[in-house]
Amino acid sequence: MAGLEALARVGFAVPMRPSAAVTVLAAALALALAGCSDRGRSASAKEPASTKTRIRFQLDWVPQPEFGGLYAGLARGYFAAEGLDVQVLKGGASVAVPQLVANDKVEAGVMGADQLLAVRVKGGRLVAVYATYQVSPRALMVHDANPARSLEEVWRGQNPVAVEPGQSYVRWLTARYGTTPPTVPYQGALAIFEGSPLLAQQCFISAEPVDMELLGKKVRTFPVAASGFSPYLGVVAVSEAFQAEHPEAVRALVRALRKGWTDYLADPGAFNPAIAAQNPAMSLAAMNRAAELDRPFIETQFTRRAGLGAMEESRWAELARQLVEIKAIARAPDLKGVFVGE
Amino acid sequence: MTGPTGGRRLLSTVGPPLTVVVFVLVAWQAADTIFDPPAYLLPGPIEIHRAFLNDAPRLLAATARTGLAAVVGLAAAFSLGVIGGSVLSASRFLRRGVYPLASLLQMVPLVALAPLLVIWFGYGQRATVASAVIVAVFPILAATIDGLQSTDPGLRELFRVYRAGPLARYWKLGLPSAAPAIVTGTRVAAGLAVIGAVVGEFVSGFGGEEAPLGIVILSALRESRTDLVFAAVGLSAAVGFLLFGAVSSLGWLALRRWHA
Amino acid sequence: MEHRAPPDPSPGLPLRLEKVSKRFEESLAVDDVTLHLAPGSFTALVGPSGCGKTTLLRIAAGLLPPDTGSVDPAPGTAGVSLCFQEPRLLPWRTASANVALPLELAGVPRAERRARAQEALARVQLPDSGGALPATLSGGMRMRVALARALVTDPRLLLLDEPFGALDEITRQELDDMLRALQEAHGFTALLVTHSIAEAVSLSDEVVVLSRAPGRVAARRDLSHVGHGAAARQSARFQAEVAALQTALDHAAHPGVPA
Repeated sequence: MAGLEALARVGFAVPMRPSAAVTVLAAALALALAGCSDRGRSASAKEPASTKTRIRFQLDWVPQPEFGGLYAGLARGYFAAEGLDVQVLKGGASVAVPQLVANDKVEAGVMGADQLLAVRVKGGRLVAVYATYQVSPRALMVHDANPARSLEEVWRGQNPVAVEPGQSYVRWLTARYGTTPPTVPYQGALAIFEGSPLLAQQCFISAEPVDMELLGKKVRTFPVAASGFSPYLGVVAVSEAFQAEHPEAVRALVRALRKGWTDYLADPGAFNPAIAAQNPAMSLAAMNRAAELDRPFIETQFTRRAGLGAMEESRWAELARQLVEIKAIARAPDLKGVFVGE
Repeated sequence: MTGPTGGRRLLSTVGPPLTVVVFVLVAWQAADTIFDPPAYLLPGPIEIHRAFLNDAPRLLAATARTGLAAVVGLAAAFSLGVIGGSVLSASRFLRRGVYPLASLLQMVPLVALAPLLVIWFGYGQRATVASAVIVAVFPILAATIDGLQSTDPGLRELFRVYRAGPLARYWKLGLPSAAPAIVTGTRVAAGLAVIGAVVGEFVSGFGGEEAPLGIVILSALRESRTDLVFAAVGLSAAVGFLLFGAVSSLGWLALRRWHA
Repeated sequence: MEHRAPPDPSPGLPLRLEKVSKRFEESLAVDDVTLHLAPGSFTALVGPSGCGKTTLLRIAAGLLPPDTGSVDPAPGTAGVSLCFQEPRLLPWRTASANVALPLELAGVPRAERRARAQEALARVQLPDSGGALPATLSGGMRMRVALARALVTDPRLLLLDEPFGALDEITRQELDDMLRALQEAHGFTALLVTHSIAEAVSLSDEVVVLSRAPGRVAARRDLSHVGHGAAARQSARFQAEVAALQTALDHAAHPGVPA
């Protein structure tokens, strides 16, 4: 969902978050109608061994550094070398990625770990294969004029906070601080935030603050992860059916992504122009800066040991426990096979 | 309307749609039970009902809040539409100049316009009401203009014979002639006002315990709680239905002389 | 009603159309018509269809300006009233409120216009239908309400554009007789456009026959000796006048054929 926040600079020209509601609903209905007849198909339809495995790769937002490793991998031909035919589908406010993947409308998609578990509890068979953000870059951002000096002060204050309704971190903060500030829907843009000195707004540390910085405005950011809630974000997931049928392709996908991310982190500036070309709304300067800020959330002690994108069972278990505790999901999900490791 | 005929009439009005609704619900539940699609795709009526019961007080409060915004929006749209339509139909120049622009209101996707409402009106009910007004005003405006324009030429001549002034022509002839069209336009607008309010809430509604239906829907979508989404959507449809019914009844009362 | 002055003893207003012509785009509708109606007289205007009868009546009513010629009384003169072919009642108003409309538009106070509307309804023999909505009334009753509306202002000149044309024969004769009685009682000048010769003969003192379009005065017949009402309609004189007028009308419609 980093895309949403990073969208800031786009203003109102881009599809707004709210339309997601209607479209997702329509999509859910359409999927449901198609679902029954479709479910068995992908399991039985064998692709000819000679051709490359097609991977329709559904982003949850427009191209930006958040997907840097994917674009680096494509540029270097790592996917093709692994026998994968990766077709990137740009995302937007109206794309319900978890539902599309769970229902085999695309082979792979990007989502938050919390979203993945919510769909899994509701019967969606999703498997996480690669976790881009090891630490959640989610933060609340306030203007310099805002008196709040900590996450807690923002959340216990009287000033409105723009959040995406239904984001699990909202429930988390409410449970943690025992209260909730007036929350308003996050618009996917900076215009309202810019004009409201006392409004706090959700962001990715690598996105909106960069925009505000480039606009010459001073903001402070308070990472949500510091309060103990840090789901994997930018998680690449496939359906259980696809994983069962193409385990080698899934491993190949992970290898190529990891190589792509390694190259990207080594020199983001080499790949950003290609990404910027696909997203005219975000400046190259902002992309270069965002890539730098993203680095500590992507590359950690753990990934240096286990590899970029790798996941730990304990993290999933912790997230599941937290989501149940804050009632974001009704019951503990079955975590068996929730992610594939090495 | 006497008691028994009234009862029979009510039954003949409500009976057929009720039968269809019951049939659809039963078929839906049956299909849900037989095919058992994952809950994130399509919940069955029983599941949706359960989601409603689990959250009933909050959902009903949300419904009341959204309904109030829709009612206020519809009332404002009614005043604006009738007054605006009357002014426009009084001047050919204004009609030619303003009407096409006004008709743009219904062509602009509300979702694209809604964020601006927050900038203009701030968060909360005012932006929500404004959103409802934007979608509801055009059908009323158009109906008012059409109604006024299609006044019986014979009656217009009659008023000319009596040398009635423009105000008398408007109050005693134009407006009463346009009343049935205005009622029809307002009925259409009633459903739209609810949609407008919900879309307005998508961008301007406050979250938390006092969240209106629009925010409940957004949250539930994000949390993949499809059952709750359906429950909230069902409630907003119920609000639209009630508002439509209320406008129809008021219209019937106001127009009972027309169809006596 | 004691609070109102009794009708003027000689209330009829003369109508004078002098050399009136009217053209609609390329076709001449009325050609050089001169018509003088004496105060208190009842004149019928007949002619082949499309001959400009209605146009002439509308010119007389001031609804259409003539291209040339003059009209007296001038348009807008008080005391001129018009009864259309159709009732033209406001469907949302009761009969009484419809009848009161001309008074209402003239600014007459509510109580007075109520009383006068009731009186006018009584004159057209609908004393008990004041509260009825037009949709609940028969065609004949609606036309009577329209007539009451035309009479409620106590006109001195009443212009009637085939008001009973759409009614069945019996109702029409009934209304004809009522109209004539009202005219005699109140003394207004009346000009009636009709396509029915029998109606013209039974109602009027004089019949003016217009020629085929463009309308000119083709013939005039004095009927003051015929008399009015049901009994007169049975008389030989009545039948003779109808026959004579029919001939005049045929001649007006087909000028080539000898009368």
